[in-house]
Amino acid sequence: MENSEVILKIDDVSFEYGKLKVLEQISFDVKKNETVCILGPSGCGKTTLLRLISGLATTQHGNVTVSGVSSSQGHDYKQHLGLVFQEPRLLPWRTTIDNVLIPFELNQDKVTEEQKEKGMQALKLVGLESFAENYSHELSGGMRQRVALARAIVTDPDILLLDEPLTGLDVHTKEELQDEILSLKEKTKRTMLWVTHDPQEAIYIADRIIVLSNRPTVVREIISVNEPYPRTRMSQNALDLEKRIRNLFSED
Amino acid sequence: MAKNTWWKAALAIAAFIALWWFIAEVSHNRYFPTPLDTVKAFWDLMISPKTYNHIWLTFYRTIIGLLLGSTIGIILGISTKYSEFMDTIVRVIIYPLFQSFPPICWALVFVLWFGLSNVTPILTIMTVVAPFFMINIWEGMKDIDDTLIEMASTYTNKRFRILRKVILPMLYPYFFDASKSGVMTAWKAVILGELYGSIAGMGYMLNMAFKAYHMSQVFAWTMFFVIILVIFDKVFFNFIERKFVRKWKTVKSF
Repeated sequence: MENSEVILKIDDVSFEYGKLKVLEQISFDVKKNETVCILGPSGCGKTTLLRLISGLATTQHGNVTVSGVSSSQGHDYKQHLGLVFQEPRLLPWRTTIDNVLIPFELNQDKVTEEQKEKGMQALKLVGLESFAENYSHELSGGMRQRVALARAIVTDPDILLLDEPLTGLDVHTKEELQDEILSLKEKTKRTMLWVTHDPQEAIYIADRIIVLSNRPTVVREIISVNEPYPRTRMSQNALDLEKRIRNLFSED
Repeated sequence: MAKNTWWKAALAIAAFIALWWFIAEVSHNRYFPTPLDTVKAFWDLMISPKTYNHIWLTFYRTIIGLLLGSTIGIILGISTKYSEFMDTIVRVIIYPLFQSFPPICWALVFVLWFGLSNVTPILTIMTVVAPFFMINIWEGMKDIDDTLIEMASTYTNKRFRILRKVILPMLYPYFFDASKSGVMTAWKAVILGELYGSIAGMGYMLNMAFKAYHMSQVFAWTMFFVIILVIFDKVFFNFIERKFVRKWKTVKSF
C-alpha cells in the first residue's frame, strides 16, 4: 500500500459556519483500492466534511483533490466521484434502470447503448438486474440502497463516497450489504471513503480508520486495521480495536 | 362489479329523463322543452355544418386561453420558489384577487376594453385559469424534495439539466391536477366570454337561441357543451391518469 497512487487528498481543510468552527486543519489521503472509514460521534462534522469532498459545499480553507483535480473546479471535479447518501434518494417516477442511468443523463443529451449496458452491469453487480423495470416504491429499503449504490458506480468513478449508507436498515440487511459492498469493491477494484458512526462497521470494512474528535473537529488518530478480508466480526483483534476506539471517544 | 355500476348509471339517467319529461308535461310551458324536443333540436344542430364551425371556434379560443393562462400561472408559481418578493406578491395580491374575482366580471371588463372579438373570450379564459396553475405549481414547489436536487448536483453543475430531469418531473402531478380543473373551468369561462364578447362560437349561439326564445335550442347547445366536457374528463384525463399513475403516485406522497 505504501507506494500506491493517492486518489483523494485532503490538505489542511478548515470550515466554519459563521463563528462556529466545524472542521479544523483536517488532512489525510485515500490511496487507490483502499477503503478508508471516517469515524466520529454524531454531530462532529462528518457530514460537513463529506459535503466538501463531494463538491456540494465549497472549501473555505485548504484543498481537496481527487486524482489531482481540485474540488474548486466544480463540474469537472464531480465527474470523478460517486456518492451514496444515507437515504437512497431515488427518483420515484423512474424505473430502477433509469435511476441508475441518471448520472449520464445529467451530463449529456442521449444515453448511449454502451452506457445502458454499463447500467445493466451495475445492476447485476448489486444483484438487481431482474428489477430493472420496477419503480422504487416496489422495492424494499435494502434494495433501494443497492440501486443507489449501482447509480454511484455506473460512471466508474475514481472514488466512491458513502455517507452512513446503511443507517436505518435492520441489522441483518446491514451486515448483508456490508459484505456485498466489500465483495463489489474486490470485484471492481474500487477506492472507497465510507463515513460512519459505528466503530464495529468501521473495523469490519476499513483498511484505515480516521477517527475524528468532537467540535471543533480534528483528526484524532488514524488507525490501520491490519487484518485480511474476509474478516470475522467478533475476533479478538476486532474487539481490542473497538475498545481502543471507544476509549478515544470517551476522552472527548 | 362493473356490470352492476353500469346498471345503476343507466337507471339513474332513465329516472332523470323521466322526471324531466314529467315536469315538462305537467308545467306545459313552452320555455320548458321535453327531452324529445331537446333531442330534435340537438339533431338539427348536429346535421348543420355551421354548428361545427362554432364548436371549432370555441375550442380554438379555449386552447389559446389555456395555453396563455397555464404559461402565466406556471411562471408565477415557479417564481415564488426563487424570489421572496414574488412569493409575497402572489400570496397577498395576485392569488386572492384572481381567485375571488367572478369570471363574468372579467368577461364584462374585456368586452368594454376589446369589444366583440377573439380577444375577449381568450383573455377571460386566461385570467380564470391562471390562478389554478399558479396555486398548484406553487404547492408543488413547496413540496419539492430538495434531497433529490442535491443528489443530482453531485453529478453535474448544469442547472438547466437538473431543472429538466429532476425538478420538472416532480411538478408533473401538480401540473396534471391544475390542467384537469383548468380545462373544466376554461370550458365554462369560454361560454361566458362568448356570450357577451363575441359574434360566433358556442356561447354566442347559446345567446342567440336565448334571445329568440328557442328554449329547446338552448338545451341542445347545453347538451353539446356537457358532452364535450364529459368526453374530456372521462376519456382524455382518465387515459392520462391511468397511463402515468404508477409513475406519479409516489411523487406526491413524499
